[in-house]
Amino acid sequence: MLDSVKEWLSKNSKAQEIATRLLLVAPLFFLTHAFSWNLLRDWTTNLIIQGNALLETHLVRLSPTSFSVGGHFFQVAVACTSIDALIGSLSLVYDRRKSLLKFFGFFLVYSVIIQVINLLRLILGFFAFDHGVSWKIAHEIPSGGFLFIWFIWLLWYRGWVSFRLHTGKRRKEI
Amino acid sequence: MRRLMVSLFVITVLAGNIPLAIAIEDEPVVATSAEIQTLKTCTSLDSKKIRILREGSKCHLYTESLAIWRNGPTSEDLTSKFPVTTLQTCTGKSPSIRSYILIRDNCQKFQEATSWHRWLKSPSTPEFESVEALNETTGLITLKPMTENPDAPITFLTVTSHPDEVVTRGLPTEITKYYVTGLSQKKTYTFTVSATNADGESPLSLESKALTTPAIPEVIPAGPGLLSFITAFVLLFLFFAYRRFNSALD
Repeated sequence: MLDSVKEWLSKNSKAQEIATRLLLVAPLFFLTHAFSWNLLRDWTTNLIIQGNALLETHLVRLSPTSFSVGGHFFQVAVACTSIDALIGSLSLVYDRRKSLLKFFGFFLVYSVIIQVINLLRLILGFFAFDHGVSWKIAHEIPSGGFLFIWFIWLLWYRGWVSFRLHTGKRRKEI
Repeated sequence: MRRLMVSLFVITVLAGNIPLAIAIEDEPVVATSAEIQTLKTCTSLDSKKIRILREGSKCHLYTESLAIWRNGPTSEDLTSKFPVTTLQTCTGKSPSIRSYILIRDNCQKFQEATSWHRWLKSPSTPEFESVEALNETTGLITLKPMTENPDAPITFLTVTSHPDEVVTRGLPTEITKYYVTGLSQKKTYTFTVSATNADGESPLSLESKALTTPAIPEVIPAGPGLLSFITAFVLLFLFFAYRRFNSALD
């Protein structure tokens, strides 16, 4: 089994690259969790509270990384900041054709966009939760949707999937 | 004549500020005169050995306790109320050298001996004012003001929590407030307290009123949970299944 995989990889350089990049995601992801990211979690907590204040939802800050809303206590963990997925995606977005400086510029913009989307998701999630929507619907399912869209975008960015409209002949209806 | 005598007595008392009552045993008079020389020492609570405290330094909590000695006449007024102990020191005769040395025998020729006195009295029995749970793991004990020996301030309180029988020691944050940490959530506790100074430990207090700690609130991590990953995988599956289905149709 392993030999057949090796043989297939040696014949197919594209598959080799995909496999290498995907295999690097997990170590990068877990490496991110080796650090506490206190400052980023503090900022994220701050922005969630301020964003909800704009929507007139009152979140009570309990510590630099925790707050309460509607009698429930929430802790902003490393995963809430999306930094783990962001660093995990490093191997997928890395482009060998670009210089390191250009790639760094791209990654900076990419990180900011991801962070903004993630914050909007969190702010709206807590807004919905405070207005009676269950935690699963307000946060968990949108979070899954966010990860899905992000992953599909990464596949599209790498050119591993395309969204071109099918131009071939349509199958006759029976 | 009797009225005149009474009036004269009242005037004399008010004008002359004659004390009508002497200090009771638990309320010692604090020596306030600046002229009375004091010597601060640290008494080892284990061995009762004494060492002179250097200017600005502190005794080590739990093992040593501050004791203040006076060589003024004020302490003599209280000899009848408290047991008094004395300490002999030697110091250089030159006024510029004021480093004291505790002596065991006699001072040297070039030194002069000084006798210091202090009252001996352990702290009185602590009494509870209130106990309250501040959070799931911390309780606040408020004690009634304790009468202290001015020559031996309280070094620490020993608080025992029941039924765990966990003993904690520490100085109260304010003179009467003591925070007990390390309690368990949703549990009822009572406490007993004793106070310790250089002269010894007070009798154990009566058991406090019961305190019940609240439950620790459940903290929800705001990151993506299992359902988020299941959602993402289901969406991915649907996405690729749809694409495969579409390509099969082509």
